[in-house]
Amino acid sequence: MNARSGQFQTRARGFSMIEVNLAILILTIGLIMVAAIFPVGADYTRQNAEESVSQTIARNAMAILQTRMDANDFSTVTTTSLQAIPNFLTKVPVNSRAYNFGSSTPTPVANPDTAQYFWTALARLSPISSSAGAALVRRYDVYIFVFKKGSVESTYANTYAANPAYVEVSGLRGVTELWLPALYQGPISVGGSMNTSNPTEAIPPRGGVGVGVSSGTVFRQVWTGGATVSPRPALINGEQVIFAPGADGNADVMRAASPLVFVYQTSLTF
Amino acid sequence: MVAVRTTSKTGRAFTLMEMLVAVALLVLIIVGVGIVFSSAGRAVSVSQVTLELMSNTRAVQQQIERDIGGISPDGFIVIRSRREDTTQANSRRFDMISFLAQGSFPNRTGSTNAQPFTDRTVANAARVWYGQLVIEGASPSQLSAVGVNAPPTGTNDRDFILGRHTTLLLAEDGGGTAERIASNGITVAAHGNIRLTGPGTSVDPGNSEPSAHISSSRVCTAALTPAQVMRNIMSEVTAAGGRGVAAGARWEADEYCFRFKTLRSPYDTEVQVSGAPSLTNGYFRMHPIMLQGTASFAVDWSDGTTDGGGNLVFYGLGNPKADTAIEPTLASDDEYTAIFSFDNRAKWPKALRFRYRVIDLDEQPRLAGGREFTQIVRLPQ
Repeated sequence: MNARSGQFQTRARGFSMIEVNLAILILTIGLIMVAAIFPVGADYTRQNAEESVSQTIARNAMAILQTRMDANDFSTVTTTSLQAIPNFLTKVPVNSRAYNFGSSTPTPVANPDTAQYFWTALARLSPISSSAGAALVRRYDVYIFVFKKGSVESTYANTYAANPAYVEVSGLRGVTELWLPALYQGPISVGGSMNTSNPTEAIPPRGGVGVGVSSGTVFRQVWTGGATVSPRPALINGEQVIFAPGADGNADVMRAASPLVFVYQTSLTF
Repeated sequence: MVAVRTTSKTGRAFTLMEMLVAVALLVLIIVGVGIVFSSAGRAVSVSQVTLELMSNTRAVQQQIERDIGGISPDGFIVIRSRREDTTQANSRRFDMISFLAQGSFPNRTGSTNAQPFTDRTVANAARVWYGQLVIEGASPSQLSAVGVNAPPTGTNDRDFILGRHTTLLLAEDGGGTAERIASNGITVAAHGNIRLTGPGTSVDPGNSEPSAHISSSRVCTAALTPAQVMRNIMSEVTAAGGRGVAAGARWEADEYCFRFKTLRSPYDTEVQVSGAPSLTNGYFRMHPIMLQGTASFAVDWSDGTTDGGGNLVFYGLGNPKADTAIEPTLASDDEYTAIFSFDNRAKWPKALRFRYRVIDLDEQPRLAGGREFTQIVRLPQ
């Protein structure tokens, strides 16, 4: 540098415009890749927050359920398969099943259309009490399903029957009833793959949460790579499951209007 | 780069225009990425603070659930409500709730002044109190109450502290001294009753130190059983002329639900009273702090009544039941009072609703006004 400095100064050339633009292009790609991490992280934080909120909602829901319903209301819950609780929809009206988290009076809400969350409940006779006999103390497993209000109309496969117990009005997936919780029931195909272009295969999409109808197992669909999804914890192949599509926002998942974000399980004794 | 040969004549540096274009491009990209970063950062920080507040309140929620789940229907429940500014609908709520509960309640203070943390007494019943606390200043008032239904200490949202005070109910030791309970051979200081105007108790048995007032949180045990508490209430209400008479009407509210005081820290040795520094060194007392930054705390109750649509109705400040058997004439400072006790057992509530507005304690709060949490808990019947 020092010996040839004069020569260097006169003969050296700078970068060409193309070189500079290339460098900027590479930098841009790098920055965009870094920026892409943020939405993913933010999405996980959102999911986490929704699940935490749902726990609070589910506990409050349980208190409302216990206050409004008694042993008589559960008297027809006589099998260990998950089923609707008689009188539930009339005893706990939709205003009480809607929840505005963060508001000073989150429930009941005057207008359910404006609520962010919704819940519903299913019950089964606990295997513990069924074997003990009807005359003894009866214990029920109660499942509270918490939904986050969505904005995408469900296009989910019609091979899954929408559980009739929870269809309050006709046109469950109609535009005006987008907020209504939609639960589906169908058999699960463990280890099966999901054909995203033909969502009629007997497996709920990944990201979904649900409950095994006879085992009572609360499961979450786990994506294991490719198109294969597996429930965790594992379920019996062919078991009937009640579920709703997930809220993970993947384009290949048929999203429900109100994705199920949390299932809370507890028991009641009368 | 240095050994430039033939290109030296044609090679040239950037022109000003080229530089400007390149820099402008770079600036555009950085601004674009910056917008993504900052909006994502904001969203994440709001989510984070919500999660943080939720994890803090979860501990409170679980504690409330446990305590309410242990409420004895043979006991009493008192709810006292007021706003900070009665002219403002959205003013901070300073509610208090007091009730008898069963469960496992450890003694949080020591046995004597010299042995601050040595007592392992556990009671299976207690008078439980929730509300925002009064923080003792440099001149502690451990000898007297802060005044009936005094407002808690604080100016800003973050100053208010939700407290849970348990007064352990233990049978007396049989030695005829109602204020002493033996635990593992150690004599423990205890109050003779759990009333606001009851006598204070010496926190150091055997020494002639001043008495501590029950609201001072210095001693948290009382030498009587839940049944004795209820028997006292019954005879006191009767002695006051019965429930229909003003003096007896709000007996439980006046005497059994009052604001507790605390030090900022149980290790606070700054707070002293002349002549008795050992008494007030801060060690020998429980620390009832639950959650800092609880700007508003409201309690409502439901008897299972529903509105026209079948939704549960909660009664409280702003929505009274208008039932004089439960809601007595108000004392000054109170805006709402509900008493459930021995004589209105048929009206025992079915559920309670707690609402608290919690603030994050960052220097620059990330969530203006904090978050409102609601908790509905069913009562044992």
